[in-house]
Amino acid sequence: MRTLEVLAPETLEEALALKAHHGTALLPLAGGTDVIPGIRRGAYGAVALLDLSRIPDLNRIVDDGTEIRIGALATHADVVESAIVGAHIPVLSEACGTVGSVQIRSRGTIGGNLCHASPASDSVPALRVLGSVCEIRSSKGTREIPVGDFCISPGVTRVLPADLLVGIRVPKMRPGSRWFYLKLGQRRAMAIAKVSVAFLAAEDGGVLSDVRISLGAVAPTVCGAPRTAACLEGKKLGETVISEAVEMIQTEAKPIADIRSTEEYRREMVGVLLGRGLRGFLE
Amino acid sequence: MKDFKVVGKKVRRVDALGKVTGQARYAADLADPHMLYGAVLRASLSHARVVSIDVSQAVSFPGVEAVLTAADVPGRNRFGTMIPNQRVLADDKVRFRGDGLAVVAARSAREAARALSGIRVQLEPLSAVFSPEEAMKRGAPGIHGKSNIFVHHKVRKGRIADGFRRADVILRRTYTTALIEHAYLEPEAVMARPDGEGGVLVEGCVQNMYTTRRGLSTVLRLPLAKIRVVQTTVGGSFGGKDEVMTVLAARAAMLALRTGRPVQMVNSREESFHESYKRHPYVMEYRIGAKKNGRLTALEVRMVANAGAYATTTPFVVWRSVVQCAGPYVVPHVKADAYGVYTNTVYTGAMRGFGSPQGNFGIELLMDELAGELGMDPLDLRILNGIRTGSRTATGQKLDQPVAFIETLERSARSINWKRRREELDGQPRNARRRKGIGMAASYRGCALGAEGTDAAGAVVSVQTDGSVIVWSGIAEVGQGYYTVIAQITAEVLGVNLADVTVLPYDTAIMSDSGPSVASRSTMLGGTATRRAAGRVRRKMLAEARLILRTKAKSMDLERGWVVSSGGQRRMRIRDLAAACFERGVALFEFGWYKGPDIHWDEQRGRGSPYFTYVYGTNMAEVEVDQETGEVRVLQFVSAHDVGRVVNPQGVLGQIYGGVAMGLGYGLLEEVEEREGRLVTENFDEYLIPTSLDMPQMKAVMVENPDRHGPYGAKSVGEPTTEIAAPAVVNAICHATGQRVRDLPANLERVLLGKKLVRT
Ligand SMILES: Cc1cc2nc3c(=O)[nH]c(=O)nc-3n(C[C@H](O)[C@H](O)[C@H](O)COP(=O)(O)OP(=O)(O)OC[C@H]3O[C@@H](n4cnc5c(N)ncnc54)[C@H](O)[C@@H]3O)c2cc1C
Repeated sequence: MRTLEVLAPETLEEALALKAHHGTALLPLAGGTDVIPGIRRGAYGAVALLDLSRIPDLNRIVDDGTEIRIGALATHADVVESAIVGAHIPVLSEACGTVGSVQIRSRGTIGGNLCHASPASDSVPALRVLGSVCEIRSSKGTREIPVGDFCISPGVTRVLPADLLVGIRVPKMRPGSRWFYLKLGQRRAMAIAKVSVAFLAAEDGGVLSDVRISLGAVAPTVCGAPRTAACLEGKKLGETVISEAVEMIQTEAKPIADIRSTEEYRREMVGVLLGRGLRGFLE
Repeated sequence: MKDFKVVGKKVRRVDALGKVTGQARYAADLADPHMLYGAVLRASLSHARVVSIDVSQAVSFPGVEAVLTAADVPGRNRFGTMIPNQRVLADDKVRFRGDGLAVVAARSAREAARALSGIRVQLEPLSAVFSPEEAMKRGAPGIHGKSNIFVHHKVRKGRIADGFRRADVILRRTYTTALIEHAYLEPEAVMARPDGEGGVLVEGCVQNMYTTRRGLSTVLRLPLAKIRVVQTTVGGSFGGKDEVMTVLAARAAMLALRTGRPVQMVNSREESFHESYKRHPYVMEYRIGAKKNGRLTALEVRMVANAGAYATTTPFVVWRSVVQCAGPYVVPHVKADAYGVYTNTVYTGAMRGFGSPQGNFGIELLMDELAGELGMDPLDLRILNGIRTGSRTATGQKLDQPVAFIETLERSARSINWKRRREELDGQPRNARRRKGIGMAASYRGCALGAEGTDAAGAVVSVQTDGSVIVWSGIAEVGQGYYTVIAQITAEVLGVNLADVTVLPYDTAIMSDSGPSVASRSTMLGGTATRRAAGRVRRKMLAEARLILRTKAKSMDLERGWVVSSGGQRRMRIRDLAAACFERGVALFEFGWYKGPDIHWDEQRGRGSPYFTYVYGTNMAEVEVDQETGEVRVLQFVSAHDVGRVVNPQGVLGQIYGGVAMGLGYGLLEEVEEREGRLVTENFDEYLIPTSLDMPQMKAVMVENPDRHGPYGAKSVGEPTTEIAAPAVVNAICHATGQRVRDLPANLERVLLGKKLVRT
């Protein structure tokens, strides 16, 4: 049993003022699916919580024309169920749909997933290939940081002590884009990724361009595979091209070994997932 | 056979309502306005000499009422069944990181936890050993005495050299199994209250009340009569709430007696992972010989079990492994040796199956490999060598009770369409990305304790003046459905409705020592005791009814709430009879006792009749393996078990489904990981058990084969259901991929790369 101080501001301005005043002593609380187990583990030290759930509109998903804007407090379930996301950035629905279980998806938020900065966070590889931008606010103003630069190391992001992540702006996918999100876990639900691969490219007459690849759970943060992406750029997909890409990504990826898997297995799987996704386009 | 009214019928568990509505009371729900909260300081090293423990600062921390160490143990700081070497708190040495060094009682849980930081401990590190291999080496640091090998059991049959001489094919294989956690939903919890007269009342999720009471008696230096253990609802146990609960109860009781106040102790999940005992990991080496036609000629086995830091039930676990080492097959020449070895890792003990899941994994994989070598269908090899009524087991016992083993094989095979399915699947292209396979495993299992010890149990049945009935049993409900079974038996004998029977919680103050709730013995032993107690009450009731109704008719019966005559006429309500008995001064309160038949074991020669009867089972699994990733999907599963007689079909289904789930976890997912004695998996985020989505379509086949010992012929079902799921699924994986996996768990990496994970 422990008691925790929880501040629950009703407006974003109030929340930012509190954050400006208390800094790291005030830990933002979104869905709490990372925060609560972390507090129980003693990962955060003595902190008070800043409950963001009463701030209106922070969970909205809106179509801004060329972009989709997703509030930081949108849950994975909100994302999966959103028709806007489904129509314009389906790779994100796919990714968020693989998170945990119904219960976790209904509580866990996309903002929390980003700020937790786990290399295995499922939404991040998808947001990264989509070229998304994080909107960070403090009482001083707003900053924008591309998702690819957002996570520094596990649990550490570019969010400063006085900041809150308020939303993510995601450019719409071009019609006819090729994409996939593939995740490999040890069981069929409640499984953190051993390896995940997000892929997005434009396609014209079978020729790929603007190829983007992100890898989850292979490095300390979600990372890209620029060499492999470049190798696919301007290529017409076929078995030879795919085999080359698979081989390349297996040398390009520098997997870690941890409690969830080995370096060797991950290296192999990065290739298998990429090959699998690419071959799926040929069917 | 008389047709039953309640036995064999689908009934709702008598304890279902409380559980599904959240009304059931668990030990952590108990509260007392004066209660204190206990907390434990655990070791920071795996093996060390305890130089000093200074609690002088901690006692003056806010809210603290007592801080105790081994020096405060009132009695003997040792408990355990065969080799009592477990401590309530570490005294001379620390032997694994779960060892407790000191306990605190404080007015709040937070104050108790904070006070732990005020305890100054000086430990002198000793060199530690983490694997049996290291621990068995000459010159390895001794954990309790000189040698770390503290158990050796053997089985000898025929002349092993002759057996191998006659063999056309000889195979040598090594298999290993993993350290796994019981993963019960409810972590350990107790409340201890001083009774004001020097004694203590302990309430908690205790599995084996009399064992825990014995431990407390030694530790507290109190007569057994001064210790009362009452069971609260148990949120799962699977063999796991024995010694670890004795430790917890003893600590809480020491604090309660010292402070004169109730003390509650509740383990967090992490504490439970660190402190509670696990299933023994085994290394098993086999040599098997067979004729070209598949007849087995010889089997040589060497098993080594990692017992961790304390002896606990290891001698018995290892004994069951070696006794059942040949599986349900006739082997003329057997030489088997099994060892239990101390290491500085978390200790291991009883867990559903109790030494059988390891041995069954070994022999069942071996049978499949042998079938492959001989070019035989694994089913045919098993049918050819399978035990039948009158066969002799590896220990030389003649099976004189009807043996239903072949029936479990044949009914499973029919259910999954073994031959056809296997052929169809053989036709799949070798290199297909996804490839299916089917596999099987089988077992026989000795019911109840066997030669482990005297096997006897008691029960009391008491009919109230309104005809409702109370039952007390000396064996506990630990989730297995036992109270429902004894309620059914009582209702059957007394001719009342199941709803009229109430089973009251297990309490050492009421019942004679009936041994532990283990070894799938509850229904056989406790059920028979209950049937006897109810039978006595019934005879008294009928005798009184004859007097009241002025009849000499012998053939009166109790049925559906009535006293009925042989013609079926209703003569008197049972309710009225119960009231009349009270008025006439006749007590409807009877005790029943049942002692199992004698058995014989010759430890010197490694042979005998270790169990008075056996159950038989077969599991078959179909899987699909992703040959690129190692992912395994279990598509269908058939689990056939000879249960003697089905008392509650719902209960048997529950045991089978749950047993399969647990067995699949063992086969595919579960492994407690330690690095140099430090636990890495300490919660369910990293320790993965199957979710509902991982479970296949399951088909339960109940084979009825009534036995003369159990109530209405009922035998056992709890443990057999979990002991062969892992080998069945691993054999199916091997059928799919053509590659052997010989180590558990068969997780993605191992299925794909055939290697153990290398962890950093
Ligand atoms: C059983 C279980 C299964 C899981 N399975 C998965 C899985 O399969 N895939 C996966 O990716 N994750 C998984 N997770 C992790 C977790 O659910 C996700 O990371 C989730 O998205 C976190 O969101 P949350 O709203 O719960 O975050 P919280 O726990 O509330 O917060 C997480 C972190 O972000 C910070 N934070 C939150 N919102 C903001 C904000 N707006 N501004 C600044 N900082 C903020 C918090 O202070 C904290 O540091 C699982 C967790 C559990 C418990």
